[in-house]
Amino acid sequence: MRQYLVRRVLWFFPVLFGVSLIVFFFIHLIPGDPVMVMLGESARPAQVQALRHSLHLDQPLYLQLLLFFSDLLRGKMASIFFQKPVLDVMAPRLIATFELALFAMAIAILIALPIGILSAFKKNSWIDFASRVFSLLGVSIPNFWLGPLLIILFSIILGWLPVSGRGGLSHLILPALTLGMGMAGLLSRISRASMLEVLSAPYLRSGRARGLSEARIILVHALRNALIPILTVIGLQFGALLSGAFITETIFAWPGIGRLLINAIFTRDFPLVQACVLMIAASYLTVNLLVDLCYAGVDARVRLWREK
Amino acid sequence: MRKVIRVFCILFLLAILWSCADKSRAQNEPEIVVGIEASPSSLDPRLARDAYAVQIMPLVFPGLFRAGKNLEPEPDLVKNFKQIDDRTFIFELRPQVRFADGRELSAEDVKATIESLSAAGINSPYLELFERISKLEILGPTRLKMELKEPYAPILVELNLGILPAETARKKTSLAAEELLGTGPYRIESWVPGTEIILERNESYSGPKPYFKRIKFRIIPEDITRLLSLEKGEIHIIQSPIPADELARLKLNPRLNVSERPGINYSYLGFNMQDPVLKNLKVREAIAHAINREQIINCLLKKTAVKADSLLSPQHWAFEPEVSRYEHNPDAAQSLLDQAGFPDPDGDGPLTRFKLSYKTSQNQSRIWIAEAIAAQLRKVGIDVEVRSLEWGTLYSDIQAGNFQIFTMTWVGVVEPDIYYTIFDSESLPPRGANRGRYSNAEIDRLVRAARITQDRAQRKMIYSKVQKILARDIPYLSLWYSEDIAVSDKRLLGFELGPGGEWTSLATARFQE
Repeated sequence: MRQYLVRRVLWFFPVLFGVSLIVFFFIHLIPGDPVMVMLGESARPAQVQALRHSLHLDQPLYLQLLLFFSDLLRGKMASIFFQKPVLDVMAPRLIATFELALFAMAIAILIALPIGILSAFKKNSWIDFASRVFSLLGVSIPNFWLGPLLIILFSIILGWLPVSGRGGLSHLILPALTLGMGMAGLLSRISRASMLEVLSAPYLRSGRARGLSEARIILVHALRNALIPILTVIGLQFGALLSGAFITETIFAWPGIGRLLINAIFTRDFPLVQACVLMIAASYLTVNLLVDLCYAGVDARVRLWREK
Repeated sequence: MRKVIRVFCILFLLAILWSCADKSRAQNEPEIVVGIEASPSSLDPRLARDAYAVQIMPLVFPGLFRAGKNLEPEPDLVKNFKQIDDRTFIFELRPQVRFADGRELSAEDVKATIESLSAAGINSPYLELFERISKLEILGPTRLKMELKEPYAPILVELNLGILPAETARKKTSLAAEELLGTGPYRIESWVPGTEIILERNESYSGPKPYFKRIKFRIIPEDITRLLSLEKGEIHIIQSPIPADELARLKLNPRLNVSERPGINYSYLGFNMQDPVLKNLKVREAIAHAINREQIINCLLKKTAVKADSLLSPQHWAFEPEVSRYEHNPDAAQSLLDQAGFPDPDGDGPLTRFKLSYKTSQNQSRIWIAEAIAAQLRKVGIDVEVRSLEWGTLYSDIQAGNFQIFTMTWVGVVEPDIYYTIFDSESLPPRGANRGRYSNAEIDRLVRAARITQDRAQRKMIYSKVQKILARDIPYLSLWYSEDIAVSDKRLLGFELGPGGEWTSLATARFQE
């Protein structure tokens, strides 16, 4: 297993290198000059030149690329806008986004799994119909609509929860619910389909014949075998949550990495954009690795490494 | 696998505990929470140039001068000053003004702060101020002599630069916001970019002790969330931009107070004067007559703006009311277009006289305004393609002259020398903001003369001529001045927005007991 892990982690580097190259070239293709955004129209030509030089923007592109890798490897990348090391800028944002994504994921799993299982178990009943309507609504309702709606209901009308900001648990509920609902819709659909496939398997019939309770059959035997596609979706969605929570973060004034990245693009803060994208890519890779490891834990037939 | 699940569960529980931790402080003394749209780029007075920073700065870093009621410079840290000739000033600082660490303000601090604008690595957008000065001489602990390289009338306005302690100003490295001390009623307690800025009362402040122990600026980018936070009582005050549609509802809320007053933020339609179609004055006049500004102000902006005919607002000391005006008149517009050599090919038919590209930002209100203007221009036979661009791209295109027409807003127009920056033929980007490449020898002569004219009445006469010529030439079509609107908790007393939206009067405001 150790060898497998080392091999997978070593694969991170060429992938991250490729991502860095793509981001580097794409960000330099976007029109807009970070120096002019920063200094404005009152800047003197000498001043523009000095800042351009200090940011290496007066160098040929290949040299800029080399300098970018050099700064990256030495941990010297600094945000143009904040004039601070990118890690100092990103770290608190990443923690905030991770916190939000984790809660959204927990909410999605807690809602979607029971609904998906129940829906598959009571196939074609009104429960199944209601769960399918729920999943359709979950994937269809956009966050920019659901977020304000939840704020109006829970904060303004009922007065139970704060409108925005990051503080205690109460601040986390509404943004996590907004993010989690969409994922819950998708997960309940996948859970239902996966459970339906497993529920018709012969080993469950033999379990019933052996007198096992229905709850044990479903929760232990069926669910375990239905988990692989669910885990895949959870992994992918968690990666997407880390990078794609921009709308929810904006609505709830949540200081996350999505908002930071979008603002960095608007201000042409090249180093910060590159660092954010690299961080998001690394998160995706890590989550995928964890999901692959979970496959092996859930299903004994899956072996990711050769046993000696 | 069980181990992995166990670790995951532990991590999850830790995250819950972290989230549950109450990160707010115990409240003993009054605190006010202000909702703002975006984070300032910097809180260093030598670097900050965006509106959010400029509005917060005076609470912490007062300058030698500030903009007064009619937008004329009035002394702030300066007790009195004497102008020896058109290049030489002697300033006497107010006595016993103290920085937040208790140290007294001296002429040395002023000299060091201005000199630090040229320091390598600072990249100050205010470098021009330093470059104008040939000599700064300390005459005493609170007396300073300043000599300019050449006469420059707007110098006092530019001396609103926040003053830092000399030892801080001389540091070569960038400083954390908390290390920056000013002489204002507040000091920076903390700044979490993208989240909040907390100011704490400066106990060494020489003026009246502010009522609020802390001012917390919470960054809430979404307009609706900002409004809902205010209605819920999580924040106590917000200022423009406020969605015009929401104002009527806010006015009905008994817990809130809405204050409106004429503003100085000027919205305009900019023309590319080198464009083969738009360089024709008759076309620009036709566009001016085709646009119904009253309709847009009444319907889209819900009367939160006032029609403009000049860049300077009516409350400005140099405002000239007698300028050419362009009332809504589609018939006149059509006739002008015919005269300009762009006849309508098929009368009321679908063919148009010519097509224009209209660039604007991705702000929803801007897009609606652009679509309304495009619809009005189509009525006189001008086809308009509205292109809504992300801010960085729009700014880059406008600077490069890669546009036909665009709309933007000049925020906080205080010093009329802005005419030099925008309309002098040498002020082309990136050195200036003559984005439409306007060139008029008479305007060049006048705006350059106004820069070196010290006499206020004479300057006013020059700027009157400038305003008349520009209203005739229409390199900009004046649209409107946005009203300054603040919505606050009804308990808040004594608050009034500064001329550029500054939060300065929070230092003297209080909650009703």
